[in-house]
Amino acid sequence: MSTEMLRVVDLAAGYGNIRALHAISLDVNAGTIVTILGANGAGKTTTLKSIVGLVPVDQGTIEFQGNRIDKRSLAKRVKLGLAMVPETREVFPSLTVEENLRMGAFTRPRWDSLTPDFDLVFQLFTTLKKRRRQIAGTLSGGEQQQVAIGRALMSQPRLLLLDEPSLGLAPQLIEEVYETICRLRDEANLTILMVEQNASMALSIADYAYVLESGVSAMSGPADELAVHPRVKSLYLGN
Amino acid sequence: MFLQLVVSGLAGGAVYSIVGLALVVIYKATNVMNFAQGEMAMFSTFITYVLITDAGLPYGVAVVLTLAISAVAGVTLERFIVRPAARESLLTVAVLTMGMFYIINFFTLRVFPFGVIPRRFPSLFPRSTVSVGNAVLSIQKLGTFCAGLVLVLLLGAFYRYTKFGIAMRASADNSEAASLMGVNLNRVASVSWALAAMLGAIAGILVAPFLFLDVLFMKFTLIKSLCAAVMGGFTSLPGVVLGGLLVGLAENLFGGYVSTDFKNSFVFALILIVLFLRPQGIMRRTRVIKV
Amino acid sequence: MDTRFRLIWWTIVPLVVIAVPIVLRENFLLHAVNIGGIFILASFGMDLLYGRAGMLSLGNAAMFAIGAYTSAALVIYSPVPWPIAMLLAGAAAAVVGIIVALPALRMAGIYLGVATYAFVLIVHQFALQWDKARAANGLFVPKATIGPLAVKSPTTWYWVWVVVVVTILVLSRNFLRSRTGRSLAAIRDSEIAARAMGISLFTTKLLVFATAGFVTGIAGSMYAHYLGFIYPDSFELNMTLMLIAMPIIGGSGTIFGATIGALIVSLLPEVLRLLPGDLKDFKFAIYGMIIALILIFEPTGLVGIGRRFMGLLRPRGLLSTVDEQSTSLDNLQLPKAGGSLDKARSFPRTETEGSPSNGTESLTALKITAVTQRFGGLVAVNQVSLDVPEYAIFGLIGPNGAGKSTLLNCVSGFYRPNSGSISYRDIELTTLPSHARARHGIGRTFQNLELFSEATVIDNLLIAQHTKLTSNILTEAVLTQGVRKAEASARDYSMEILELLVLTGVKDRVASELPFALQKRVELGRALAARPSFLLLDEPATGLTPTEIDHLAELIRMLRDYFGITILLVEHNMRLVMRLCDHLAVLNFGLKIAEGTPSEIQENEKVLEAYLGTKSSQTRNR
Repeated sequence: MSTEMLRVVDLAAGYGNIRALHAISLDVNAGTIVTILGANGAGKTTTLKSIVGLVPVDQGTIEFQGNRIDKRSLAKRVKLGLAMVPETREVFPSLTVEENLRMGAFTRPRWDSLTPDFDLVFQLFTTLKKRRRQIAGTLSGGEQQQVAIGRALMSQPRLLLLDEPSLGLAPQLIEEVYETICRLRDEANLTILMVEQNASMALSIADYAYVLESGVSAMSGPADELAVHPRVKSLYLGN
Repeated sequence: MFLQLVVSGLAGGAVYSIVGLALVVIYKATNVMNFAQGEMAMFSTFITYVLITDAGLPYGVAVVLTLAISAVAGVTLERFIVRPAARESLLTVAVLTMGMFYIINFFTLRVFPFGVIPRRFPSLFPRSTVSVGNAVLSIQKLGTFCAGLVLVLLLGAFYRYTKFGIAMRASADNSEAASLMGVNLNRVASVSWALAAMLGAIAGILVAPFLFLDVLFMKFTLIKSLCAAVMGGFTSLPGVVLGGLLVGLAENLFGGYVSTDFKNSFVFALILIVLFLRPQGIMRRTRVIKV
Repeated sequence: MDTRFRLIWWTIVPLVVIAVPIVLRENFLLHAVNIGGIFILASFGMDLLYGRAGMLSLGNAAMFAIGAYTSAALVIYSPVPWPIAMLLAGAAAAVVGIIVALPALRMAGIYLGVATYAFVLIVHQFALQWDKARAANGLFVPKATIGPLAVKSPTTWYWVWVVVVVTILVLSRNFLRSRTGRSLAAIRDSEIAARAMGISLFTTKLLVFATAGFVTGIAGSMYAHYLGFIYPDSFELNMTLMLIAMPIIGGSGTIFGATIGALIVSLLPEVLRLLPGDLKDFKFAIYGMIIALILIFEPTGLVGIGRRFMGLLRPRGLLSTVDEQSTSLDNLQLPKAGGSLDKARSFPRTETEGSPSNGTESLTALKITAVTQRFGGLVAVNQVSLDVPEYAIFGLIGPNGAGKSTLLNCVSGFYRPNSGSISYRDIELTTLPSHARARHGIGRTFQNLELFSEATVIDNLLIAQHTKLTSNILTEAVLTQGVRKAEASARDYSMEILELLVLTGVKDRVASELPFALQKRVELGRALAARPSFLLLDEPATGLTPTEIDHLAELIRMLRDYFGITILLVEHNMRLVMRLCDHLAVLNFGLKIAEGTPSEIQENEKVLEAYLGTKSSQTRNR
């Protein structure tokens, strides 16, 4: 029996007036890549934000490694081992690459023992090593993506949440990012929950997938099954 | 005379820079334009005065105590007056700080009723002079400039080398991402108000020997410091420092060579011009408003 | 307001006004009331800018000062009698207002506050210099005279300011309830939507500052002649705080609030005098504290507190439920024939009468030619060309970041394309500012809702008719016959639209209080109220439930079938798009990658690839 990393049951959440999620349920097993697909506005980003704690939960539960976290603060969740890479990277533009990475380790009590973490990140992203003192706002989109992922890794997470990692990147870079994601699962033993618009690519590396529509989970199953399912196409392009 | 004016300008400019930094520290962290900054500084200066003259404490001890009290006062103001109103619009909060201006003014007079009468304030630096070529330069002013410089460097070091300092810069850049890292934004707000209060206190202590100490002595300084902050675009700390020095220099050079009567008008017109050239109607940096 | 309440109100107020000078005689309280009364106009002027137009102007003390000094100078140095001097002072202050308005064209919020305050400082310095030039400390101002009558005693002054204030407030009330007043609410709530409705920010801002200047200058004139002595320091920081305190304490956004605020702030020192100790010296601190308390707990001021007591204002944070039934779109009805909604039907381009869906020739409504839009290094829209035929429901789809909304903003004038051209019915749009495009029949809704959130639903629709109404502030102030008729007809028209959209039940509700789906409908109604011939809809289905989306589809179809409006729709919800649109264009990475009917698009390889992506990067083309 593989250990369950994350279990979300009947999650309802929203922003002010708008109820973005009505009843989302999903499970993520340890050491797997799970992807959340769906058209824009379906609630994918809101799901991730609720899990990490940026959006408060109206109803439902979230369990991380067996512990309820839906009422806990974001900082607490990060300390427990959750980390998120937001959509459009959201690096700190006026800070250097190194400072950005350090910020990822904010919840770690001491900042003087970060060398092994820096090593891991620079091993994964060799270009960043050269640019460690460069101001993050001057980096290219792909490099910022690397900074954002590296930053998330600095908190030594068990579960990594990725929001549209391929957004705005050239195809070549998307390949590289996806390679990195696979390496994180295989070599660093991370569990990954990934929201993606690019369904095809996501399904090619994921183990399991959920398809959201209008705030509910419309379909789910092993990734290779969903990749050839006709309903996926219709959920994206209507019919 | 030129050199004398320059030194005066640098000294004055240093003070404007410090208060300007206080304004920007608060603005970057909490998006609040603190019109009461000058009054906070004034109150702190009064505390120092009383500690030195009435309690007889040595200068250094008095300053340290003042800084501690100022920090606490700053945190209290933020927590109990500004934060409850934070959900209102930024305009509302700005008007609120205008109200705070008068509340602090009143409070100061209550605690220090002698404050209506201007008094001499003891200077940290000797009131002597040094001769450089033909010019006779005031040690006091040179000292003020150096003190300002040291302070700015210390602040810079805090922001660059301490964990919380970097976190504060991060949350000014992108507060949502910062909270994603686990940064407590409320704590950032408190620390920045404490910092600003302390900066204001030092500015007040530095400038009080030149102006006489009374309840309104920081009024014009605040306005000129606003000009400094505006020049820094309210975001760039080095920009504020440079802006403050420029304002100080411009003011003194204008006053020396053109007219002392219109010296203040000149500075105020400068505010207008700078705002026109760098309007910055957006509150946050680099956020393109999606239509 | 309740008619019974109104009756009581309009009996009590005049009685109080008449009673005051009799009861108070000539003592210090009457003096305080006079000062308060004189400040009413200054408070109102401040409120025009802050409460109505949403602009923090800290420069009103400069207008007040110019009013005071101009009036004094005219009476001292020229034969002009005081009433004329007062009007001229108002005019001078209006000019100052226009100058103070200039920063408002470039900046907003706190920066505007700081910039406008600089004017107060500058005027103050010049006043100081004038004193110095006359070797004096202040200026003695001769008594005011109206014809042969010298205005000296407090009682006489009382009646003078009552007459002046009441006249100006009545005139103001008229224009505030008409087109001009609504345009102020528009720029306060959403400059973007205001531009889309055809409101020129430039003209509106200058106008409101000039008006504020005028009334403030008149107040300044009365102030100078009442006190008989003015000095520069009185027109500086303290007055600025008083001027902002008045509408805030009283209740910003209402005439009554500005009035009460002025009276309270002026009477406060007298009240404090009755208290033990020397508290009256701290009147400014007290103002400060009251402002702080009000801003924290009840930003709508005393008027807000009063309304709350009378149960008219809902407790904050609690949205009272809107009756679902009364706004349900389950039975969408076509408008009645012969109603004023017929005015909105635009079929100027067909030769055959009747519904456009029976074989009209396809003339091009909107022509987009090779438009490119760059933001720094990013090419958001890349040489896109589109022809939208008349009466089409044309869908623009594509993945996130494809450039759809950017293109929409180019069409409505919020972005200037780097190259290419856009024309509507042969009118070149590319060089027209956004507010001018509304006049050519182009309307839109917004992805992130740009309602005039603090205005009522019906006001939102009335604001949209800005370009159709021709009144100006002067005709509105005196409420000419023409203005009255135009307002009534605009209101009728709005009501018919509200009936059509089943929104009559919420017509007087503040827009931001409505549930999200209703707000979207209000935005649609607002776009419709401008009588567009072309509508841009930006993701109208976002946040709607499937049932609401079906209703939306019906509505959109009705817009085209009944009103003859051509529609360009940006949307992600494929169910809606595929069912509703007769033409589709697909954008990806700023390029148009496909065009055709929905069924063609659904089978298009490139489209599938763009949306679902491919495994291999080699087949992806950019």
